Amino acid sequence: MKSGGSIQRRLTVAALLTVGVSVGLSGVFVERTVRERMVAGAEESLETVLRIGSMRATGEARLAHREGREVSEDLVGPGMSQFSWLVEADLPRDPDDPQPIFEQLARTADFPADKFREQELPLGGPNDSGESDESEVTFTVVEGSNGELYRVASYIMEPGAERFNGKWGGGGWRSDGRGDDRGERGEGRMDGRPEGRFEGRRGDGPGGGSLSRRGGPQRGELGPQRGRGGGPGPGSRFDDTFRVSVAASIAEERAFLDILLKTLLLAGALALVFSALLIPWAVRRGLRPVRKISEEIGRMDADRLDHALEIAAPPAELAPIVNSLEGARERLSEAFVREKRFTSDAAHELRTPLAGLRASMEVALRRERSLDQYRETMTECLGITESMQGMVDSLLLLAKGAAHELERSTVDLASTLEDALANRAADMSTRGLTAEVDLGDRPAVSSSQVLIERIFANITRNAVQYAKEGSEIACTIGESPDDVWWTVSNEAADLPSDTAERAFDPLWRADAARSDASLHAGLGLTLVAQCVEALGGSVSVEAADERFTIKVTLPR
Amino acid sequence: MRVLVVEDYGPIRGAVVTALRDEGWTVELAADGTTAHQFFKDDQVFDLVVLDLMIPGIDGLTLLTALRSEGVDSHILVLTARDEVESRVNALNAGADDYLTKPFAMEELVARARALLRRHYAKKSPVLSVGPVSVTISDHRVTVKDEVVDLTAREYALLEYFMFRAGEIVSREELHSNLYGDSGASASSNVVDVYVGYLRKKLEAGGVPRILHTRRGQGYILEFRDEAGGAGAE
Repeated sequence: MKSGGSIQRRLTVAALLTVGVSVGLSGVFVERTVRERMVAGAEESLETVLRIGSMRATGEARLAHREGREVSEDLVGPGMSQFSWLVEADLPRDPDDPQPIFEQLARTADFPADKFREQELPLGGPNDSGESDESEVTFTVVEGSNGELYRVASYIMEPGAERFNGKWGGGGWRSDGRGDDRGERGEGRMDGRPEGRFEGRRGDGPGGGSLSRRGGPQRGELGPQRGRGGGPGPGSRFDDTFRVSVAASIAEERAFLDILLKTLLLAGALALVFSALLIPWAVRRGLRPVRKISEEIGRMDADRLDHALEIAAPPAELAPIVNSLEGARERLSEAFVREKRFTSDAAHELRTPLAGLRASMEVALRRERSLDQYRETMTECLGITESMQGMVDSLLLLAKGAAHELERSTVDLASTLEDALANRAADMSTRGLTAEVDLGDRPAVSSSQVLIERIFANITRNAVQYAKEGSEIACTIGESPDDVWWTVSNEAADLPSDTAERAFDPLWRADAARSDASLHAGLGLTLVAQCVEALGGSVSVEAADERFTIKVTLPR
Repeated sequence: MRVLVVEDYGPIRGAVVTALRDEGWTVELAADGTTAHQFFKDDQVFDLVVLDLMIPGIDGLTLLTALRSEGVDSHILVLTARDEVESRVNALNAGADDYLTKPFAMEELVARARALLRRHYAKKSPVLSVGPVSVTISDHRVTVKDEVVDLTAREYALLEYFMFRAGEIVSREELHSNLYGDSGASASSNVVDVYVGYLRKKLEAGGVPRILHTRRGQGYILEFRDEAGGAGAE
């Protein structure tokens, strides 16, 4: 038998795949979530630092620039030592070019300026769609000169921006309507007021963002403040565009994510290893009922067929299998019991003539006999042998089942019956029997000649054997639109009451009567029943009023 | 010896009858239980009944029970086609003396029949002896003073019966029915006398004293008397 593969292996592989995929997916999910959260948190705090420290940084940077210092630690506000700063300014070079070009004013020493300046940062201002960015703080990650990674937050400070006075969360230095700013600025420059002009706002209140700068209260020029040391104080304003960037090392963050990743990988690997150990065990356990059932079936053999399978409460999936097995077992068991009984009965039936043969021959050989005695013995033995042969033939036919002999042709029932009676003529005259035959319209039927001959032979033999001596056997053939039928009826004394029910049992005989010639009478009607069944007809027996009638009906 | 064989299957019945007749016994036969029962109803006496249990009419077990309840004291050997313990036990419990399972060897049947007959006449030894005369039942060997005597089947049957009933008076009717069955029991009873005469002649050939005595009006008795009684009757 070709193996369909192992269920255990399939389930194990499927379960392991599932575990692998879910562990992998959840790992990726956890890693991404944590990373996003960390980055968001880091960016937020960086932004806060930027906003708090940008004014000071810008002011210090301008001062340092003026003093020719490129690097100044003064940019760093108190308590912010871990942040490094870079301040650039959009120095006016070409008034016709509206694009700002930032050049460094000053930076702290550890700011990763080289790499940062290679970045193409958005320059702020309206994006292509003309709408303002949600946030004008731009974040990048830059590698420092020492190879360390920094997160950099950059902010472009427009002219007129003023030190934020504590309400920047509402967008105070968010220049809403920045589009206007830009145009204004450009316009302003063309007006020959490249510096010192600005229109600012302060204390942008709620809704302030919607105010146009023009509509804002005019302020005086900032000029005197520019170039002054000490950085811009509160309320100080610049009329140049600056880009302030603050950087913080993300080594810690990276290290944490590294550890997280490693942890997740390890956990995933462990989960897979455990699964690889656990799943086969669980699957084996789950399949235990299958093994139990298979063992139970393995114990099934001819001797135990009559015992129900001992499978208490099979799992729902196996219940149909168990049920159909149980059904098969019951059918097998019944068939087996039938076969066994038949075999045993048949053996007993054969035993009697064999015993007769043996006894006859033994007795003949015990001493010298006359020629006539020998002849008599041999004749007797021949008779026994012939009847045994007939019996064995019938047994073989029964064993093979009559069905395969079906070869349909047009059968003339009347002449078949006449032939059968003719074959019995000798027995009938011995017993003084006569036959009353009504052949009807001699109907023909499309059926199996062999089987119908056998049916008639057995029925007539049965009738001749059991008929009262000197009585009449009545045979009738008839037909109806759908089928043809015939009956054979004989007088019989002392019919047991269960004759009608048991007539078709193999080897059953009314009255257990074994007259010398009736050796295979018991098989006769069983054969008839099987033949009729093979032809798709029906057969019935009626035993009443000392009359035994058998009726066979065949479809046309 | 009178034996009744009740068996429905002709070949076996015929063989059993032949074998038992070969023993010199008188054998009656019946093919069904009803016929068999009729023999006893006709007051016929049998030393042994060979009874098949599966017979038409009254079945074997019922017949057995009926016979025993009617006081029939023949020994009964049961034949059974099925070698099931139960049917044998039932038969023995119903009054059978022995059983034989089909198919059987004819020698065994005959040997069991002999054994049952010995038991029937309360003899243990297979060799019956009265005075100088000995009869070995199994091979019909008859010796007088250790000399083998040749007897015909009839003479042997007669002697065997006398030997079994040694010391008892046996009527002419009994002897006749043992020799010829029940046919013509009343008829020429001098047939018995003729055979007794033959038998005496052969047994007394070497001057052996008479052991087969006539009891006038009653029949015969097989008996060994000392020399003193030698001048016996006749």
